[in-house]
Amino acid sequence: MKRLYALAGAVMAVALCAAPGTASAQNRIFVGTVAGSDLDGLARRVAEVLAASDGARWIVENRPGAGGALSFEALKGAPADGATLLMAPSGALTLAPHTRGNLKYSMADVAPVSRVAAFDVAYIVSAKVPATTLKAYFDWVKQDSARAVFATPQFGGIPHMFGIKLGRAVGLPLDNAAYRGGGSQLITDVVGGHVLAASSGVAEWLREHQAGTVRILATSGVKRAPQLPNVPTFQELGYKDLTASIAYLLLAPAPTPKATVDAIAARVNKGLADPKLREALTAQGFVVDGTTAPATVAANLKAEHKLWGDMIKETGFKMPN
Amino acid sequence: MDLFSNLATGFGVALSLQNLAFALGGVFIGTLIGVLPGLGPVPAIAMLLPSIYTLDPTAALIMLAGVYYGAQYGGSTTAILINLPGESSSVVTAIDGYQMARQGRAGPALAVAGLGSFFAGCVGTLVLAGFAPALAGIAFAFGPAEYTALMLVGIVGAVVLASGSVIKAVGMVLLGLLLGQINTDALSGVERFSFGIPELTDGLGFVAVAMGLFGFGEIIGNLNQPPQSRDVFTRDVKNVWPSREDFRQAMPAVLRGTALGSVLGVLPGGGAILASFAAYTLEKRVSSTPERFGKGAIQGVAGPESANNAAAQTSFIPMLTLGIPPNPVMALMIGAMVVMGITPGPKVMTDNPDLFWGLIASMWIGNLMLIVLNLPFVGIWVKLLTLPYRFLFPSIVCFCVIGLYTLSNNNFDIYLAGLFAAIGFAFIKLRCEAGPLLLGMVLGPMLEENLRRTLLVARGDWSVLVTRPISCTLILLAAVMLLAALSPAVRQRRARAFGD
Repeated sequence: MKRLYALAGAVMAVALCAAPGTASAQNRIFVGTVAGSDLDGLARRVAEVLAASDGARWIVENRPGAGGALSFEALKGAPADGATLLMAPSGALTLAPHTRGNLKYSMADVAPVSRVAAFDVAYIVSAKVPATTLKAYFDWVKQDSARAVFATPQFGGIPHMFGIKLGRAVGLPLDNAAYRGGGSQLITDVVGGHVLAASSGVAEWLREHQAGTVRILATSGVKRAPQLPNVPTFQELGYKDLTASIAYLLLAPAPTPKATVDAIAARVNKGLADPKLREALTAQGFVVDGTTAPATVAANLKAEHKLWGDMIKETGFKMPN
Repeated sequence: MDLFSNLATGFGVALSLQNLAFALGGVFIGTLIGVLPGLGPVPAIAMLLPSIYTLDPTAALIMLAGVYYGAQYGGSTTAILINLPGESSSVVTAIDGYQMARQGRAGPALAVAGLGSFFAGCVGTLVLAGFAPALAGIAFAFGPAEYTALMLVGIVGAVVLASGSVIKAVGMVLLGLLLGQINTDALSGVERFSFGIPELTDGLGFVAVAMGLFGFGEIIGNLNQPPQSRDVFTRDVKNVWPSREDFRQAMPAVLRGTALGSVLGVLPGGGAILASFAAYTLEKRVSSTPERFGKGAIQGVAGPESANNAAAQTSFIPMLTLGIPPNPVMALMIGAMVVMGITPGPKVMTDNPDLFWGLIASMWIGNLMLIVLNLPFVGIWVKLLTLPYRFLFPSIVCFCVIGLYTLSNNNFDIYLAGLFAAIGFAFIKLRCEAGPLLLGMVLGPMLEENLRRTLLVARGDWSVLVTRPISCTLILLAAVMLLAALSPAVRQRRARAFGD
């Protein structure tokens, strides 16, 4: 019996020693959410594209926790050899550093590889609201201050900031009712008319908008969202500064050699040009990118980082910790 | 009759060789992930998705649905055998199921859970087929105020779950509510009780806490007994199949559980978990021998298991009829439909009748496959319990730790389960039951969030909670339950039961 235990112990020891070695040889894409989110789904598509281009295995490793911060910390600790990447939303780099005081990562820790896809922020009202345009909606809100509430999928995210910005632009402070990570309760509450308006990513609301149970009044892009050709942008409605987008980015650790980053970017962006993949992702509500060079992605991120920084300073918004 | 011709179409689709194979594959994978502690249907489906995009949409959805309800089936197995609820809805099953296993009645418990699930699954599917459009509206009738009231009923009901003293049960619920406060506040972004540990900002993981308190705590508790009394549990396996008496007791519980689950399953969010322990509470209330609950009452297994399987089936209603996902699994299925060129929503029924009715028909076939797959396993599972402890315990711990790590690829969940193992052992020594604590921990944050949202939307006006009919009814129900739990008559009955 004792010998059996000793043998088992030896096997375990070998397995444990072998584990770190094999882990570093594995091509991985970290994702800061649990499996099943739209970010995770997109990362799995990118993993397929990469695997198809080099014949190697690419796995998606979920590192949820602390609003995605743990996935950035995991990337920081990973070797910068192009075998470990991270898929993350742009707000984690451009907005969170201004609002969250306890972040252990910054833009300096990552080298952007590709802006894979993006979507706009939409301002949505329940079909029970008797307003079909943004102007009519705000006139209606002005009649009764109890109507000045908008929901967001999450406290302190880009849609929340956008709602604050909108309220300031219109001169009508709006109260925020945040949900935990969005999901179905937010949608059913708005459709059911329990909460009358929401500022949220376009993708989740396309079906309800088409079914007529909610109305998307405007979107935050510079151009109209391709899935919503009849919905105006805020810019068209005269709010020049009201633009925002949520981009899903592929990132490498900062010390990764430029040639490696460029090579991965070329492979990913080539794969994203596949019309079938683009069509499938567009149906899900994304606007597929994959055309921007890594250096441009980085420059745009810096500009966006500054824009949010200015806005946060102006409004004095701060996460409580 | 339209329904029958539609169902005939559906069975025509579902009975094709290809779709039968995918249904079987789905329920088989589902059973496996249900039995493996820690691994749930959401990551499994997320990993399957890329490989099914190229499939025929009907076949793909039949398989994904099979994974989902198959996992509901499998989840009860570990709860009964080793006191390890794999997900929140099987916490309740563990209470009486594990006691039955300790008395050598693991076989009847598993068989009743399986047969109850089968019956509930079939009825749930029938409800889905016949009343989907009518029931879909329920989800919209529930706003923040209604959820607040529903959670209140749930938390009061959690007290009734415990078989011991009321004071201890109340204490455990309160402790659970406090543990639920460890998170980031949804409405204001404040990190609470996280002490700078990033993992704590998302709250304590349910699976890690449940594994620690129930599974590991129980193992330590067992090892704490002298070896002779430890073996009693494993050697004393009585009949594998339920007796006639078992069936007589379980039958009404299955019927009531199915009814509750069919209705609550339609609600987004906590539908399945509320259904399972609403069923337990109901069984305990209507039983003429409530003192047997918590000590291996077969109704305590049959009711909740039927409820959560019926809920699993009717949770397809908002997804199929409105395109609104009531839980993360349904959200993934909607994503899959979109990619395959189908627009989820009211039009699926008219535009893709083959898919809609084929999927529904496949659920009956899938449930039948599950019962055929699972019943022969009952004997094997029961045999597993007769393994000597020195083999059984290390393997359980090993599987659990692997499962815990896969939750978020982070050692933190393993440490957390370790900590709660010690707490769970302390609870066993103090004769406190962990079920109410877990429910308090799960329901507390939902109650708080919805209450604050209610007040925010109502501009601080508390009266909305009682002026809205559904929330008013639910609050009255909670008040009645609370009074009943505290009334002298019930206390006496409890005291007598406890004194035995």
